[in-house]
Amino acid sequence: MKALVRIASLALLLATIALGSPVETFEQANEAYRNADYKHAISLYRSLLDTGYRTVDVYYNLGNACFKRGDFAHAVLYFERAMMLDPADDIEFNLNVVRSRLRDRVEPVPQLFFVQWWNRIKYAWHLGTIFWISAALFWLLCVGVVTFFWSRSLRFRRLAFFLSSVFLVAWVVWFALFLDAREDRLAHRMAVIMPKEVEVKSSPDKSGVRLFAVHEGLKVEIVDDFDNWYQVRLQDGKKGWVQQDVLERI
Amino acid sequence: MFTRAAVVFLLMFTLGANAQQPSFTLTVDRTEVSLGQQFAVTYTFTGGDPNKLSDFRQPNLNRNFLVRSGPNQSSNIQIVNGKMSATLAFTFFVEPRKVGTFTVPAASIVYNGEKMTSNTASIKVVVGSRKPSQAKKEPKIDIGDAIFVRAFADKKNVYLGEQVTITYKLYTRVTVENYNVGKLPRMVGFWAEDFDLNPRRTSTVEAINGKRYRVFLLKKTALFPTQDGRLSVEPLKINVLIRVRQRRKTGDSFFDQFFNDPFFDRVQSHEVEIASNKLVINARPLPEKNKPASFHGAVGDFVMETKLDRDQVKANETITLTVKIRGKGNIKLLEPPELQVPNDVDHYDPRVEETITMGGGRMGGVKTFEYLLVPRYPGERIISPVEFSYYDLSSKRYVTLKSDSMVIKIEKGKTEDMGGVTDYSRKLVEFLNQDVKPIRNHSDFRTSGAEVPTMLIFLVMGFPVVGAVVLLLYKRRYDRIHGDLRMFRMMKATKIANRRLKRSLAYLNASQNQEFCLEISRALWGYVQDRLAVSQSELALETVEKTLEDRGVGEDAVRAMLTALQKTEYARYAPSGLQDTYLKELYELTKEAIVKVEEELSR
Repeated sequence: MKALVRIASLALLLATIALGSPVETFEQANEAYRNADYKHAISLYRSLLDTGYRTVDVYYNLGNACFKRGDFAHAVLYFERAMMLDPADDIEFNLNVVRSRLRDRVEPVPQLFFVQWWNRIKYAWHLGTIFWISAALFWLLCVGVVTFFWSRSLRFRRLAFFLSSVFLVAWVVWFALFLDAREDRLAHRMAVIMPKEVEVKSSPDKSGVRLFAVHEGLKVEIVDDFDNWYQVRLQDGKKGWVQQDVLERI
Repeated sequence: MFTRAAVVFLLMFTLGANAQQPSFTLTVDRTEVSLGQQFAVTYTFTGGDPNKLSDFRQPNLNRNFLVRSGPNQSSNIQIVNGKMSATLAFTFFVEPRKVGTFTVPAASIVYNGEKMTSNTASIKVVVGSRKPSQAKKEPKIDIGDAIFVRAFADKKNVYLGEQVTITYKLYTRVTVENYNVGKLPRMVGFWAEDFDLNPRRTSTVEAINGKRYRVFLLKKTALFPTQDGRLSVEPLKINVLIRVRQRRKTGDSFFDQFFNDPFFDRVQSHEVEIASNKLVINARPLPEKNKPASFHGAVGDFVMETKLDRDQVKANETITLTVKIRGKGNIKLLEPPELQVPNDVDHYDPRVEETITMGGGRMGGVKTFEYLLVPRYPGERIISPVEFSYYDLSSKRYVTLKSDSMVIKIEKGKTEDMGGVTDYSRKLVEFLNQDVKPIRNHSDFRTSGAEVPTMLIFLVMGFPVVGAVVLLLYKRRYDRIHGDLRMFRMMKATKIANRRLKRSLAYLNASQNQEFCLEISRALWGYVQDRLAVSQSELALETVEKTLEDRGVGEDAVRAMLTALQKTEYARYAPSGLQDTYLKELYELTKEAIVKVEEELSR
């Protein structure tokens, strides 16, 4: 048993040496990208992901390389994954560049301004940021409550009461937002269409009526599954069934 | 079998006949027939002098039956004791058209100036199981080379999409009463278009093998092969009604001699079905060499015109781009040329219109494609040249027609009518010509993931809760030791002072001056002590003044309080009775001082 553990740890060590440090691989990949050897860059970035180094920067650079090779579906997928990890302006910009070249242009259903803000923050803010804001609001709420009970002055107490209720409402909203965003990122409900063209069916079987076609790079939401089919919803609210292997979850 | 001529013959002999009762009857040789089987319908006149017969009115048999031959006349004359009795029969051989029960209509004849009408008969037609007896019944006519149909193709080896003209001609040496094209040949592997023919069937004359034929043009079709290989054109079948003269053959040389004259010939109509020959067309695929990308199967000779209805529009207004292709060739098979339009100009599938002309034996015409363009954003947009390619048969090469590139100037449109364009797609358009931002050079591989562990959530949220609970518990303990009484006193101070003042007023009214002074002093000092939370040991005018000032009470109120305190002290320790008015004034002063201080403190 001991010997087995020793062999395993040795193998792990060797593997680590063989792989080189992630920083080195990352720099090699970047070098390949700058030399327009996108194919090589892609394989290097992917090897980083495969060995567990799933940082936002690897996803972002990989998305760029895929875009340069004309593989828009993968470009969208990797940019979206990068956004999930740490939303940033350059990622969003590049994502829009890819989207502008996609065949499908799905108009989102108009939403209430509140829902729009909610989704905007949920999607474009770092999960940690959302978390620390809700944490700060909670701390302030606690301070307010303590002040209320501690203060002897009526004026102070009144002020503490007012601020506490404001903090309470704000905290409830932000914490709900945080939980929603966290659930979103954990559930991987969004997915990207990978093949050039996919027929969306009315029911989860091959003989189902063809409703419409979607094309590579379109982001859809998975709402249900059955056998090896997913029911997806487009941003404009259209729904239908596609086979599971055409999707790649973000 | 006698013919009509026999009647004439009989008339010539003018034999006076003492006829038996004349009758005119209809008989059928069977009452039940099957489809495809012929039967005989005979109208018979018996008795009487055939001289007096005239005007046989043929019945309309054609409605329910197909007359294969007839009327065939036969007559039989008997002369008994110098009296003549004649039997005259008109026979039709007919075939049923469909299953059912039908009535064979009556015919009429005039005898001796009197019209006689026959009876009718009913006949039942069943689905045939027996073999049609047509061959047996109808005298077979050997048409030989007297009539035939021929199909001609103007060429046998063509390219895909090249026109082949097929002509069907009917050649005849017999009289054709009527014809109709029965079965249209099925054109597999072709797209076919018929030429319009002169509806008046005029004929020409041609000589074949020294024989003169009248020639009718039956059909002329332009064929365009849509697949390559050996394609066969199935025979065209037509039904022809011909008139055949048959000399009567009685076997009686006397009659033969006598009637060997065209006038006495029997004329019969016969329907014959004839088929044309089969044609084989060899279709070759077009050469792959130099095949342009814009080639979609057009073969012939074309010209193209493109036209924009205007080149200056406001955003979201429509422009029509018309592409007109005109020429000779497979115009119906032309596909719309593909447009190269900037991405922010919406375009729709074209509206297609075509006019086909078959002039000069070659098919041609004009095909118009109307594309609707809707530019969405202001600026200048270029529509790349429209390309259309065809294979030119005469020069045996591909020809690509190219329009000029077109520029549209788009002015700013009204924002209200941004029909269907949302901020989203407008935003995306701005990214169309942009490149992605550069890659990132560094990555921190020590951290990974954006997950917020549940543990962290509980820690961060739990800490202030624990802190608050601890603080509040501490506060409660502290209050229990120190604060409760003070708080209580503070709240009660005004109430107690009020009560004492009331009591002092009662003493004053009762002229108990000593008690009044004590009570008012208690009210005032008690109020100061409780309200300002000053311990009894510290009670002094200076402390009161300082505390009041510390608590932000105004100078006015402080002075009122101090005055009241001083006067109370004086009154308490005054040696002898003070005047009532002084005491009254003191009461008012005290009350006012408390009100003022209270006002300021609770603000």
